[in-house]
Amino acid sequence: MTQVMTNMPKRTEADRLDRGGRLDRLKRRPEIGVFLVMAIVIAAIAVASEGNAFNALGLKNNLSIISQFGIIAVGACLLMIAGEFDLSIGSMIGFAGMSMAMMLKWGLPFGLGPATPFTAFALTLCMTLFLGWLIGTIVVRSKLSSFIVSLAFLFFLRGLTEVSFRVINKSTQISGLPDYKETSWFADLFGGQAFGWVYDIWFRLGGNANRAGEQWVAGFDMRVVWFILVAGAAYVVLSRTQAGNWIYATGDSQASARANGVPVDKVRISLFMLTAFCATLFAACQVFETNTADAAKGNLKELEAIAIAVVGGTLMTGGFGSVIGVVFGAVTFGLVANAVFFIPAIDGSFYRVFVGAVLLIAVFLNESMRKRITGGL
Amino acid sequence: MKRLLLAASAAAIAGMAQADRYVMITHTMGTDPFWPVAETGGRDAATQIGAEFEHMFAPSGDMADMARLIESATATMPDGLVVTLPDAAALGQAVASATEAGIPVITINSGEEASKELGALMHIGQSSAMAGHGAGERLLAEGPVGKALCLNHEAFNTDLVTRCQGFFDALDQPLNMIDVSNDVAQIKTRTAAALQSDQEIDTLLAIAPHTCEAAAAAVEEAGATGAVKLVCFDLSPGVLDLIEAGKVDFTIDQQPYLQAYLAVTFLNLYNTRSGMIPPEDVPSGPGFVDATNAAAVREQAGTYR
Repeated sequence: MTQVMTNMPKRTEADRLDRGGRLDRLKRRPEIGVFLVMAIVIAAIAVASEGNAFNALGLKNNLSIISQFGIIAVGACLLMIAGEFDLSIGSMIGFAGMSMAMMLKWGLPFGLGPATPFTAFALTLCMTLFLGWLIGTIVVRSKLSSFIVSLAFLFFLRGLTEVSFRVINKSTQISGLPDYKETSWFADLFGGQAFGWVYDIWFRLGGNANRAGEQWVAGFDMRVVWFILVAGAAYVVLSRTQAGNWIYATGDSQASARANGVPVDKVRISLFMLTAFCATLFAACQVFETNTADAAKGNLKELEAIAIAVVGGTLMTGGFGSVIGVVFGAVTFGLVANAVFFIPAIDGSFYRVFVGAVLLIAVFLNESMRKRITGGL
Repeated sequence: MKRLLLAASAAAIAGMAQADRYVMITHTMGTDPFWPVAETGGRDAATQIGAEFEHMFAPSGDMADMARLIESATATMPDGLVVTLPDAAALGQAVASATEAGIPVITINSGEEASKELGALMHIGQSSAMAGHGAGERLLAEGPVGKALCLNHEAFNTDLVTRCQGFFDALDQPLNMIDVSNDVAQIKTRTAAALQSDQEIDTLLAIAPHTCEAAAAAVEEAGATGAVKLVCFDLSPGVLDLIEAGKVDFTIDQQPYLQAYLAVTFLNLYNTRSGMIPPEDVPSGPGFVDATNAAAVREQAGTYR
């Protein structure tokens, strides 16, 4: 093998695509469409909010919402590349949040005594991963559309969450739990803060001061770290590993992927477990940050995750998409959903209008880019 | 033996037939922490008077679905109906046909204006405008109020907008409201954003407990503790903590337990005491919870309060 490689000329077959300069190559990246939209949105919001949207607190809060969206969108993107949908993400968030808060308040099930943040999270993750496996297995075995199967779980899990709240807790909201992130490093991993040094430096440089002149913001929310980890891992898997090739192949054509020995069913089931994992992560970050949970948590988040994946250039039909695109999509979507509130001149109710407009513009751009890159496929 | 059994079961059936059956239909989608409290009230009242009690709601939140529920409940001929009327235009027909069929109806929570017209016996609730107004008046009594902002988690819910409107009417200011969504992380970031973009804001009105808790975190984060006053609607253990910690001035309790409890009790009196009924609507709120009574309310928050 090594021998063949060294004997080969420097140019390879793939080089025929490599014409033109660096700029030309950049223009042919699939993420370029959403990148343009993101750049325009950032610039427009910075100007309209007079910089408020990107001051110390603005940056922290915007990144918090972006990460929250990003975590579930990355999961949704990988699953969509493999040609499937998961509409149960939002309900899974609600279920996971309910499960964790309920254990923290009422103790572990089966009389196993009081819960710690770690046991509550671990047990919840076992349940959600099982549910993800169950959804995937039903899709694979029954050959039904994942749209329908996960839609069923959207209702099933939301209902289960609500019923559990009402039967066990007698109220659909849990609040007033102790602040676990103060006492448990594990809760702090989800609900605490990170990258404090950025804000420390910012403060030394003369910014990041509140009205009293003291340091204002201490750090970013931990979910920013989780977003970076999840997106980084997904990027590596998708572009550098065999599993990544399997995911693309599964979404492109299941029959030919299977004929080439790709474990199509395993790939799809694991990706349903991935979206369940992302939903659990989303819920854990919220539960341990605010020490509350309610039955409406995560409502409609599945559609937002899919919208971001699509804004990021993921194809609804599978086989095409990139994690970098989804990161740009999450930034765009998160900013539009949050930053409008920094602009006093615009009524906050307009944010859904902007979200809709941005979604449509990004998809048009992506589509024309993709046709140009792939030569009209 | 057989005869004895027959007699016993006949007595049981007769007993069941005698037990009144009350049906409550509300506009909750099942996720709001408010309604389980009301349901407990209705159930407790029914248990005390030995009646049966059912609570029904349309999880879709669709008024047309709720109207169907009222119609099908009417078809079972209960001894009394307790309904909420968030949209009298959509539900009026169904309620009117229940009253025309001779079923005593009491409206609770919302729909005060349309209640009498549709033939309901009375209305038990807290007028949103009056409650919002009350919150504003109380704030003014405590001291001067600068610019206020209302945090609405359901901007399309007219009744919640009325709470904000009443508050601003009392303050004599134009309505200033933002849609903070139902997601706790977004409620916090949007509130912080609004506080940053307009430094003149010194008063926040959060019209739900989860909004209240998130808004308190946002005030702290924006470095505005002490400079911005927070007042809220409804109760949760977290809100009580905030009141005791001095981070929330007061919260308005519309006492949902009372709404369903009184409705079932009054229906029972109407049925068994030859049409006995209070001649006027009964307000269930506003009740104020502040630092003076927070501890007493705490034990029952989320279940009875």
